[in-house]
Amino acid sequence: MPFEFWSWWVAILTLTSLFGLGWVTYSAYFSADRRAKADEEGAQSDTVWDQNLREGGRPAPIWWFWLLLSLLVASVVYLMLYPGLGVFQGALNWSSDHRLSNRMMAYEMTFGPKREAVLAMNYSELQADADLMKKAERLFGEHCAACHGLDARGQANRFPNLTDSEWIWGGTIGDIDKTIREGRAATMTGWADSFSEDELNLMTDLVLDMNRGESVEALPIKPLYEVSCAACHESDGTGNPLLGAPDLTNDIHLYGSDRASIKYTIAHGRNGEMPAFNVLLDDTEIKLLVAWITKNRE
Amino acid sequence: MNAIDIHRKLEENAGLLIFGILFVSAIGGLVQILPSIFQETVEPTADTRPYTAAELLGRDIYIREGCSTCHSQQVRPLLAEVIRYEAPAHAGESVYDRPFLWGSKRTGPDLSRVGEKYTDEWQRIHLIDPRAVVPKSIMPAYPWLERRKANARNDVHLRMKALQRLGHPYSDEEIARAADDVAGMTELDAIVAYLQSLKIDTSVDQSEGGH
Repeated sequence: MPFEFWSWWVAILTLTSLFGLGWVTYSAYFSADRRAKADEEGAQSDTVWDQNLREGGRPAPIWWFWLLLSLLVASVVYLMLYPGLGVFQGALNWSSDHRLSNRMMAYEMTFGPKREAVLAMNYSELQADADLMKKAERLFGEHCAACHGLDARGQANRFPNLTDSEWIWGGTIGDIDKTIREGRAATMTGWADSFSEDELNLMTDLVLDMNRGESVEALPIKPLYEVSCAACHESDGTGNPLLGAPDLTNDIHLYGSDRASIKYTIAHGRNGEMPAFNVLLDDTEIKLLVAWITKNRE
Repeated sequence: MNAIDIHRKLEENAGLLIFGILFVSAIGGLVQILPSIFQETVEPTADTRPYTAAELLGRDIYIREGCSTCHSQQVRPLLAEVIRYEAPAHAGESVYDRPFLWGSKRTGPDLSRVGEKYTDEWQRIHLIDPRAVVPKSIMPAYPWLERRKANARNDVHLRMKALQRLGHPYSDEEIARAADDVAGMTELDAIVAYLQSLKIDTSVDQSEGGH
């Protein structure tokens, strides 16, 4: 069936129903027959049930009539103003999309200048503004806290602490901005297939020694470290933020700093992932977050 | 002839009364439902595709665990929702949802745009123990998902075949290899795959959003 057919179908059925309701209401109150019956109480023409039961039907209170009539009028007015009768859009040309885009416009008018103002400020100005930092904290709670925790101290041995000195992907403002915007994907290879059990244990010892700041040059496993690990973690163990390879010369470990966790990491690898927030957050929000995060860790 | 006479006639004839009731209560359906059945105007949006075997299993687990009792999947065209969840829901995004899971109540947040907001790892930790990552969460834990095989009843290809019959564009090859695609997957893997598939449909202009 063509689209027009169903449009007319909806319109005609709706209007017929309205008309039918109006007619029933009117005739229940005002038809001549009805009045005559209401006048002579218990009229003989009234239906008799079971020999002597009568309805004794009297019209409902008259204010019901006015109530029903006003509802019918309201329906007609509504259908004239708003979409409802098939394709007829209504006199107000209302649509939920229009309403949304109007609200969006008003929102932009209010907040657009404020956003511009934030973008024009530098980071130390932002950090000095208590009100803006409060907003940034709220943003962090909404978008970041599920992983990094409300206090930004990291959680679950999976999501890094953002308040300490260890920044796996670099801790400058530019680095953090890039991390939030584009996300990060870290890959630590698992070595269980290429290292023997002894080598795994020795390598774990080497990492633990490095963590304590001890020299590892003399260790017999060091040559294997040079071949397998130094490409990312550097030969002195200080790591490489460009590759997301963490610094091994401190005892801050994302996946746990105990012996068993470190050994597991070496044997099976790890795949850390930070999602990209460039769709969910705009430039202003990202700038506020970077300001808050760098202020918060001081 | 007036309404009272008709009323009397109906009262005295049960058959007529039944017919009258059926007729009157059918009007709403005739106006609202019948045209939409014949019109078929809802087309999938450009980014909307049928669920993969893993996502389909995950979706059925989502239904089984009653996730939709607390999580809606419908962003309404209201300012606050669009700011929080991005683009409002579009009918075309739900064409491959049988039944759709729009929900009507939000004890937890809306999930229709949750895909890729969190990492797989976060979703796994959170499903097994929500309090491990969101200390104040009231969401129940679902630890058994990790222990059960997603395709334990080996019927994922049958589910896809049923949907194919209903018009979902699955190819016969896709259905044939479905069981292999999800081999070894736990229910946790499947539901995470499903959650990650719930994404913002960037092909729909936000200003022309939903209804």
